[in-house]
Amino acid sequence: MTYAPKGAPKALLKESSRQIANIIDLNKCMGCQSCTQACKNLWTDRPGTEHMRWMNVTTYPGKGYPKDYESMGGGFEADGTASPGALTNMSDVGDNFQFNHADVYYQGKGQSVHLKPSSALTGEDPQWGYNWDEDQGGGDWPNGYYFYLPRKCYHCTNAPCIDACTHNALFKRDQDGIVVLDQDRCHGDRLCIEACPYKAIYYNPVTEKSEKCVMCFPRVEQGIAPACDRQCPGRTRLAGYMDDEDSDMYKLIVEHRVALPLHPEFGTEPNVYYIPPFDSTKAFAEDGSITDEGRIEISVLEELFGPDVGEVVRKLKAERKKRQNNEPSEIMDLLIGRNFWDRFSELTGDPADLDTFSTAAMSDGSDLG
Amino acid sequence: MKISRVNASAATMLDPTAGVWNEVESQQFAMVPTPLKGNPAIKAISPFIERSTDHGTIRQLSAAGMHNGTEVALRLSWRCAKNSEIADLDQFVDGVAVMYPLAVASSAVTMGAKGAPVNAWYWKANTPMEGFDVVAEGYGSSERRPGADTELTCEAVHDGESWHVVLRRPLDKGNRYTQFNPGSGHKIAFGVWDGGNRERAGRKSFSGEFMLIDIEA
Repeated sequence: MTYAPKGAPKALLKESSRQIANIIDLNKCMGCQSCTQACKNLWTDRPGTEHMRWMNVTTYPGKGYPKDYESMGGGFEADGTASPGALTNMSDVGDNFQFNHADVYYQGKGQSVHLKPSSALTGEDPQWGYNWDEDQGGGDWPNGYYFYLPRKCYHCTNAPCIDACTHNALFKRDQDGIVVLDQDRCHGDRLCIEACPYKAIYYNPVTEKSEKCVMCFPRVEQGIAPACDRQCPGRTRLAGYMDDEDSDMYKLIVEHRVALPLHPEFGTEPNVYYIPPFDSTKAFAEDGSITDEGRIEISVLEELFGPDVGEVVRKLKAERKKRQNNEPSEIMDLLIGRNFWDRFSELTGDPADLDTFSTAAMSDGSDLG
Repeated sequence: MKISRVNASAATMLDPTAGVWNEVESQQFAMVPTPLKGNPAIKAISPFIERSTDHGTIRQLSAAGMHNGTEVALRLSWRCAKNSEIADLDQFVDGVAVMYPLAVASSAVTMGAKGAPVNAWYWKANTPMEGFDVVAEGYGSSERRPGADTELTCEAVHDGESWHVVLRRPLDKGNRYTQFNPGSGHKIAFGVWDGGNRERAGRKSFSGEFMLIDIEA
């Protein structure tokens, strides 16, 4: 839809002519946080947004970001009933650490006082922060394992945030299906945060309004991939539109069915897909010998990606085998991504050419802040 | 309820602790949780808030009113722990609202309807000097503007047990807003939010349908 009046039916707010989507290949993500930084620099460097990481990368197994989001509720029950969850607090979203710069640098105490963070909320030593449990992972020695899980708003087809907002501040843009949050309509009630099972919406205590990933819509409008996708040095990302059947992204999601949504049981139909980690470090047997089995149990991946992940892992392993045997594999070629530009289909524009004064972004009358 | 004619300055009327408030009659209003669960109109605007069942902790509100010929002021008091800061991201603040019909057919229970709007004054505890002027034509349609637009001014004290909030505005701000005509009747309704119980939006207690009040000549 475009910008519907207040009171418009939720189904109308969720309509869009096209849907932008992503794939993130978890086999290639090295946890460098380039995507996180790209997003932070572009979108959340304003007062009240210090704690926000619209794009974030955490270690799995781990508590994730916001902390324990997977057990905070939200989304829909199996029969489609709305299921409100909990709200995140400042600690959950990584706090906004304050540092004793003045003591260390300007008081002549550089040799005796060490730089240390304190919680913005309590002033005390932080008890939790972004990536507090980085690289801890799971599994029992000697078969410990972890992988990185980059997350952002999933711009869901059945977005519960759109349902939750009594002011219809959230809606999908007609031209790309990006879920945006109109800052003029938002009253800061945070029903959207309770509704989002991924906790991808953040409260700004300065503006007293909520904010979320905007999928870099001013870039997308000018054919430039979102900053998190574009800045990834590991070629983990693909971006494009779900109706572009020639795109590498479409082929992996729809034709080859090797990309899966995170927590499909939340019922929100997310539009960011993941290539599951299919070839983890080989596990040791009890006698200390190295086996052919990976260390990540399929049950761990099923918790994240649902019951289809076992089949996907089998398929990916078989395709890899083909390449090892010098046989062709379109899936492996698509995942390797030898040509960077192939990963972004229509979104290959150069960020240097971005017209930052374009008013097209706001032409629907909304203020997307 | 009666809005009494008093001989007091606008500044005195704004002070919730001013002695003049002891000279006018105050009335107790029973407050009830807003009917969210199973309400199809609520479900249409938010199936998530429709699931709410633990809201509406404040069950009584005391209101008094006065005017001095140019300004009208209402003093609202209710027992509630003080929640006046959004120190953390999951905190909400206390609030109160007074609603008036802008058309004969306007309903308080539905917050007005298309063509039958309501006008409300909204106060929240983290901006205690500012009120907000709200116009709504049904659930979820409220438009909130700074109270300064209509010279709506507020002052509040919390005495350790209860809030006492005064909302003051000129009697006449034109027919886009509610008008107070001394010597005639008016209609009024109340809503109150307990921030400590995460009350905001439809999660509140309210006084039900509009009630008649008198404005002393």
